[in-house]
Amino acid sequence: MDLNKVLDENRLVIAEKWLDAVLATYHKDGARFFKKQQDQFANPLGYNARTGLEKMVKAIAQGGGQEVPPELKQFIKLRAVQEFTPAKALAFIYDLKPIILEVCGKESGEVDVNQWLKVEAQIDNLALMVFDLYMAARELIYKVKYDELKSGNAGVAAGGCPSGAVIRKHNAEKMELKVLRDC
Amino acid sequence: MADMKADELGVSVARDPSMMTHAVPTKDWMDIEAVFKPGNYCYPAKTSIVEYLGKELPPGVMGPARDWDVESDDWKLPDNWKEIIIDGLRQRLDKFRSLKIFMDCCVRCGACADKCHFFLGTGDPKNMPVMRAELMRSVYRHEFTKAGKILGRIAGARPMTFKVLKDWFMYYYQCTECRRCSVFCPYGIDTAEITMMGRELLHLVAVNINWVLEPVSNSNRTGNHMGLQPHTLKENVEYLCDDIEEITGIKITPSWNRKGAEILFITPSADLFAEPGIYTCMGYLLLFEYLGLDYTWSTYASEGGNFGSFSTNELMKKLNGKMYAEAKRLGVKWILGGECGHMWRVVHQYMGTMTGPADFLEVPKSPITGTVFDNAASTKMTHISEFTADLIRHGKLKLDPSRNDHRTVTFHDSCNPARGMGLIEEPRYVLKHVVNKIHEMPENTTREKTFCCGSGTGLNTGEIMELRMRAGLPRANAVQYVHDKYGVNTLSCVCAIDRATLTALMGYWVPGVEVTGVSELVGNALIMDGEKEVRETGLRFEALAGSEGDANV
Repeated sequence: MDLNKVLDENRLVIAEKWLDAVLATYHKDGARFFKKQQDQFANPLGYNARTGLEKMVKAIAQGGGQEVPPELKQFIKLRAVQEFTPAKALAFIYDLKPIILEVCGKESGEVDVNQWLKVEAQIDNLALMVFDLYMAARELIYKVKYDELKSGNAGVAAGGCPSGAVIRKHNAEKMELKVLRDC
Repeated sequence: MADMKADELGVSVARDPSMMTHAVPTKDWMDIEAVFKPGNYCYPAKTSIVEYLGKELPPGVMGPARDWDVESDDWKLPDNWKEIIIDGLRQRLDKFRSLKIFMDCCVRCGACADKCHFFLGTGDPKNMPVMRAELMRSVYRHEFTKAGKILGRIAGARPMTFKVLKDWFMYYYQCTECRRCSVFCPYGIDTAEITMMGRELLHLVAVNINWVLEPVSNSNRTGNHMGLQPHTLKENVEYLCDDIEEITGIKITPSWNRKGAEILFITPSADLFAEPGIYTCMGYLLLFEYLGLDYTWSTYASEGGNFGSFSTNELMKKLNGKMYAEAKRLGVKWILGGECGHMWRVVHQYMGTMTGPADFLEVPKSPITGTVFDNAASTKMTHISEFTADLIRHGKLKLDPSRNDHRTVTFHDSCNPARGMGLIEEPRYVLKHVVNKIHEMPENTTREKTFCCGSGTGLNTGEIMELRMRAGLPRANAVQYVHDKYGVNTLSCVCAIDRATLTALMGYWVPGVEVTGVSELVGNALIMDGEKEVRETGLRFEALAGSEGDANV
């Protein structure tokens, strides 16, 4: 039995089960909607999760999977700002292993260990890739917070007189530009 | 053994998906308690501010000032807090007929359920508008309906408890009063007004947030959210005028607090000090200079924003009244309003019954085109986009849209102007004449169906940044689409809160997209008499298309 072939043939079933496992991390009323609504703008979470997971399963089945599809990237970014611990946010990646074993095992009786190890390595690699994405998202959120502070918008309720700081910043920048021009 | 384990795991995933990902509990909504933790709530207002505002308002409106900790189970509420809330609800049911109707007429059809950006970004059923309303309806039923009193939970009723109060604080501050849900409601229930009532009731027991009340307090005392004093405001605008001179060669000296001016111009104070609003402000300044408009700025009415509308109607009325008191004092004929969101919602929807028509002013009439803005016959206040669109329609502006060719633009309908006053075509008409490259976002995310920025109604505070990012997902997702498909790099809008919050939202979701006001783009395109021969940069010193070198140096 060729595991990749069975995987490819059953990729939609596998992606569906994987999606169910992901959506089970939300309240059932939310999950029901995320699964049902197909419009990508009316349901960005569901659309990106579904499309991202389907593309990922397909890539793994075809021996690829070295890149995370944009839809899954957006979904990871969302997980990074939802109320999950980092582990809980990303644990769904590992759910793919038992799902593949269950579906492909049923289809072909036995799963070849060597072939499985290759697929498993791809999934482990995926876990590392999304870990990077998750961390990049967390670092970005701190940058966004910092940029907002810097812009003056965060000063509204901070008290004091940030406009003075704005003027000082402006003057400092002007001085810097002057120095550059003089050079 | 390995196979056994695989089997077990497989079964586990199929039957019980909480194996690794820890599914959330799926209890009935009434049994799930709100849990406050850092990042999912806004900080309460400072005691001194609650005290100050309490003195400015009728007794009881602000509740007893105190230090309290949101994460604690003791909010130091007054002993009779339940009575205060129920009495408050009773009074509001008598006073606001809409509230009574909204409490009674929902049939829970679910049309609104999936229309809220907070629900779409969290999957939390209490963020479905119908459920957010149920948080109050359940108490209403228990206290004010026979069925609720007799049948209790079977009739969807529950008594007012601390758990309910926590729900209210959690979810009435996870609603930006954007009213998208009401567009889809067959009964026209305005869930935003239910949130407004929820927040009012919370204020009665001094459960509130600082990000709303400190700006309100500053506006009441000094004139604007930041508490900027007159000389500082003037200096800030002067420094914007310095930049304008450097960019265009035009020297502008606007007037302040000038009695007898024809027009009073009021805009959100963020346009005077925060990026990217300041560039929008530079657009206003250029336009008014171009027209030779007889207008004045005011240091007293230096805030268009009305955070009062995010707390209680008494504060909303007070802050709205300041603009008109200043118009009266200065003896202007009418008011021109800048690119603001909720200022317009208050003026357009609530002022008429709250304070009555501004009869001491004249119906706005453009001194340039003679157009009379009959739509503002009661409020005497015209939106800058209406004013500018009319100028363009009459061919009064010399424009070079190619100066915005470095921008591929899409337009975000800000909730309040779009849904709160129907301002949908005017900014688009203006954009069409000042920008060459425009691409609309998908139909179900614009115009009256526009998605909120996710941070309105005083939720634009840093401590809930993650919440803001998930609430803004549907908006950002649509921007991402036009960014990928058409190379959109500019998100324009006509709201100061949007300009601030979409900047953060884009920074996270769609880096590379800048946020602008429409008037900034007008300022870029406007060909001023006597300006520099070649405009090398835009109003934020950015390089124009085709210009050479680094525009910042």
